[in-house]
Amino acid sequence: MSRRRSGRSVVLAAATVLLACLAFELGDRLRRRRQELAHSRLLYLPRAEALRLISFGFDSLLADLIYLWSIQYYSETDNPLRFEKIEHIFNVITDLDPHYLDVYSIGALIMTFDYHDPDLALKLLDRGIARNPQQWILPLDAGLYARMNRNDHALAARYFARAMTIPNAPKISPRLYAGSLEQAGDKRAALEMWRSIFHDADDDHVRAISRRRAEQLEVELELETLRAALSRYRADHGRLPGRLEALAPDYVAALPLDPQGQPYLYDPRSGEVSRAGGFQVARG
Amino acid sequence: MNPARIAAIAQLTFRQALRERVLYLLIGAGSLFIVASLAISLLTVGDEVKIIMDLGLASVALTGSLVALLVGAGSVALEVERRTLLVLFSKPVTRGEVVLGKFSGVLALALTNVASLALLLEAVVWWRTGAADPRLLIAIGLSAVEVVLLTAFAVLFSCFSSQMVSGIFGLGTYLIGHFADGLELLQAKVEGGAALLVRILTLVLPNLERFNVRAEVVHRLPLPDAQLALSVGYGLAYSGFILLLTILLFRRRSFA
Repeated sequence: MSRRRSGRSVVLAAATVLLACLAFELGDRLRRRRQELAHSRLLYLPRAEALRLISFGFDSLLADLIYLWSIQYYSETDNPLRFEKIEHIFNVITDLDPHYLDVYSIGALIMTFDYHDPDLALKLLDRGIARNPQQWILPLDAGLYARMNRNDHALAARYFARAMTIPNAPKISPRLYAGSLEQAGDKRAALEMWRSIFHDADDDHVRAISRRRAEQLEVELELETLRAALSRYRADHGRLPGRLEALAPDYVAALPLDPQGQPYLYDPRSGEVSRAGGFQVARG
Repeated sequence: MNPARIAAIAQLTFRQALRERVLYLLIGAGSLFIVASLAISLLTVGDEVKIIMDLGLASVALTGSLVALLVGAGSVALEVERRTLLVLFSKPVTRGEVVLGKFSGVLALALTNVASLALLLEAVVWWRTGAADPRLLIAIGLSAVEVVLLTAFAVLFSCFSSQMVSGIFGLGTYLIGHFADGLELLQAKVEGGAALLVRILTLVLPNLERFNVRAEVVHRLPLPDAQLALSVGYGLAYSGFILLLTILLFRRRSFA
């Protein structure tokens, strides 16, 4: 009787070990097929409207869980198909929790630097900005992507302009705005902005930067004005003037001086105007 | 109605419910989720505290609701099945007092559970950030109002069906209550008589989403006092209605 019982125990133990080995082997095979599985999992991610209904009030928690999963998923660099549903995934998370700022920021980061599609990143950030108009981080991020990854400085300036009007925005926002205006070619607006930054600055470093930028722009604008006046003079007289003073008052109201009070240099042979000593950093 | 008799029944119900294993299972699971949120939050990129708060508030709300529904489901039904209710009726107590006593006992237990998990959550948040977050108490407070309403429903079902059927009805009420916003979506898509029916259902069925301000609390969005007061008023009025309905129907029930 006892021998029969111990025999049964051995069979039971052997069956247990066998089943455990089978389970481990199947698990290992599944792990090896992870790449395919990871992709096919996405086929079952419904739209946020459906997920919200079945989350029974825990939509924010569901957004957390999908976000956590997405971070792991987009870290799988060996899966080339992982970006196929990237817009859908981040739309689902942000629809479930429209105020989850990390998702917009990290989603845009992945779309820009891993998927190399800054337009998609800006689309995601635009959704975030529309839903969170009082959060400066999203327009600031969007401005940086527009500037660095799309090279669209006018668009960047619009984002930075929005960010700097939001309470508690970082102090660098107006400088980013002014810099983008400058890069976009709107030198007069940029000059006004740098002057305003200089006026409002509460530390010497920012004051020095803004003064230098304002002076450079001021010089550039004055040189452009003088060049345009010289060009008009030549058109009227068929030659260049011997001295710059000949431009005033018909072509310029008064001859400008550079920010250090020095007159601009003029070469009557080439018609070139320049600043004495080039661009110097004025000490504030 | 004698408050002393109601309190005695409530105390007895509370003690009886303390013997339910499911209670400790739920509290254990809720506590585990709150503590585990510290580890889970490490998986995120960004605000880890958001994950802790989301998981913690969900645990408090879900565990409180399940305790109310599952313990409440057996509160009267088990007494009927064991025939101990007849012994109780031989004493000088009214059926209304039985209903209110059972409700108070289950509610006290469910709210104790909510309070202990809330304390644990605040402790975890304090440990992680260096300060407790009093705003969490707003979300937890409204979850407690939801627990009051669910307890009333659980006692109602328990007065007229077995423990298992009451539990199923209670869980059904919980799911429908959180699906109520879906009914509003449905209302916009149907016409005629169907729209009227959906409209009536929207008005009559409890909308448990009215007690869900977890996302607003976690994201520090403004929560108007009027909205909070309306939610609390709605929950208490609805609970009062269900309790009165239970008393009215229970008085007519025959145990012969």
